Amino acid sequence: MKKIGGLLWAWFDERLNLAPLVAGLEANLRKPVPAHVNWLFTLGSAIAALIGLQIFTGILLLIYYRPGADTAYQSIVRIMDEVPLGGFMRSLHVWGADLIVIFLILHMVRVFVYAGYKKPRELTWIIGVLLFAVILIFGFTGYLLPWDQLAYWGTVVATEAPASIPVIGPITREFMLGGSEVGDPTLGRFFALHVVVLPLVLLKLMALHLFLIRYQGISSLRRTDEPDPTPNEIRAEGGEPFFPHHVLRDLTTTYLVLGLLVSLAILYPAHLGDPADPLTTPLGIKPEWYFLPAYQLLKYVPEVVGVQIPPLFIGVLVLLPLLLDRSPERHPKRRLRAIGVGAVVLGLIVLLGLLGHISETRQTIFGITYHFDIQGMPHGEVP
Amino acid sequence: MAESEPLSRRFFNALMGLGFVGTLCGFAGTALAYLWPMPDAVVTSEFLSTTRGKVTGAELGENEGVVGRSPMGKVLVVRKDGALRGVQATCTHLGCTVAWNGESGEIECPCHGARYALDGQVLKGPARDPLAQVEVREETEGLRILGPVS
Repeated sequence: MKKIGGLLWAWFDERLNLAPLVAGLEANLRKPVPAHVNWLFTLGSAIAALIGLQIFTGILLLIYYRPGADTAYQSIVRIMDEVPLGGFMRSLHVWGADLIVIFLILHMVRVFVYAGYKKPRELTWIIGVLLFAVILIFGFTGYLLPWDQLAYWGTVVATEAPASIPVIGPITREFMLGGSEVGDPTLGRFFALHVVVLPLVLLKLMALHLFLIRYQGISSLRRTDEPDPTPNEIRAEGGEPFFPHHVLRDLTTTYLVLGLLVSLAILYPAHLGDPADPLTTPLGIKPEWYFLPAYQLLKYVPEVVGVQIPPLFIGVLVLLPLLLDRSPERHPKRRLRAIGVGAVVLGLIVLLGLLGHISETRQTIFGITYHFDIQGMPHGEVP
Repeated sequence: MAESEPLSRRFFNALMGLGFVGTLCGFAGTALAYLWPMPDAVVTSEFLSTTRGKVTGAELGENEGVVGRSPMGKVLVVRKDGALRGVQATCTHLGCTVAWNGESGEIECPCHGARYALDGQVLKGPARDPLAQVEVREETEGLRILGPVS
């Protein structure tokens, strides 16, 4: 076996001169990571594993899924009721999408707190923000595919909002939908985006993101106007080699996350509502949880303003290392003001999401039933 | 006969660049035309219809409403005090389909709670614009949608 391996290696090496490439890779893997790198730095690997699993379950779902207003819902029913482990496969895909968004947010918060976006790693951050936007578009396009009532009407509401932007709004919406209302052409567009265009974009951005991380190494906590520590300095400060020390941590987190995903898929299988009916809007139409802050915001401000805030927020994240936070400090203890601002912004987003979740519902709290109105404000009712 | 001037490298590069941009524009234009929104499926019948077929007057009791498709798009028809009243059924807020609430005697949007009077006027936001009124006539074949109320 060893002999065959040796022969194969010699065959490829003779043609491609692999030795310098492998030596470079080995040196890169042995490069130490700074001493402050802890378990929080393994979230990115967990996200990569989840994305890999999404591609795997997505391909399997594609075998039975039939895009089309007349076929989509029935094909999902078939996947859930007839295909062996089809319901489980769909649940893995649905929960996988949720977990990716959760871990992506946690990963971005970690990078923010440790100032990993500062010079010279601005590009890694910007590509990461673009990856975040791509993941959100993945969620948005995938939400429609089951073609049930929630999917249909959630998409109607979400695509109606941009139409309020003067001049370009209505044509943008119509272009997105492929007609004047959500229908078969919309499903075709969203399907093509979800299964072909977005995966290509995502994989390219991911490759670039990972390359930059390995090429530049993990950020130290030194000020940006001080030179980065050399590998010897990192070792002297207690840094461990990336391989195998950090890789083992990455694998541990990845397995824990996969365990969480499988547990969720078994304990809380993905739901499928009634088939889409364009003539009847059901009560309680709400978007996916990660769009709830934007959904709730639209209730407080005019649509024309509200629809521009989420893209502006993405723009602010892109500009963060370029214009908004150019202080040379990286250590979290010396960046308390920036972290405070970030915490307030994140808190506001979470608050909006919670208000969106609780709005237009009835909740019993300490024996008193409250009706939460459209704006999420409670009104006490007789118990 | 004078020899023709040879093409300069700069001119040749510009020509190549122009050709490349032209090719890209050609493909982009073709894709744009391919993706251009298609006209909606034309509803030819002037009678209100749902997925079950034409709606007849007998199916619509007093203080009841029904949403169906028509050449005017989605229309809500309500029988109130014996008379038929019609309005556009697409909420002017975010495009959900409104429904008649017989108990409150109002048209309601299930998405964000906008409420309208039977003549389409807004009673409660977040909708700001009224629902357009539609003229309906009851015939033996079904409910004929005649057009906007003038």
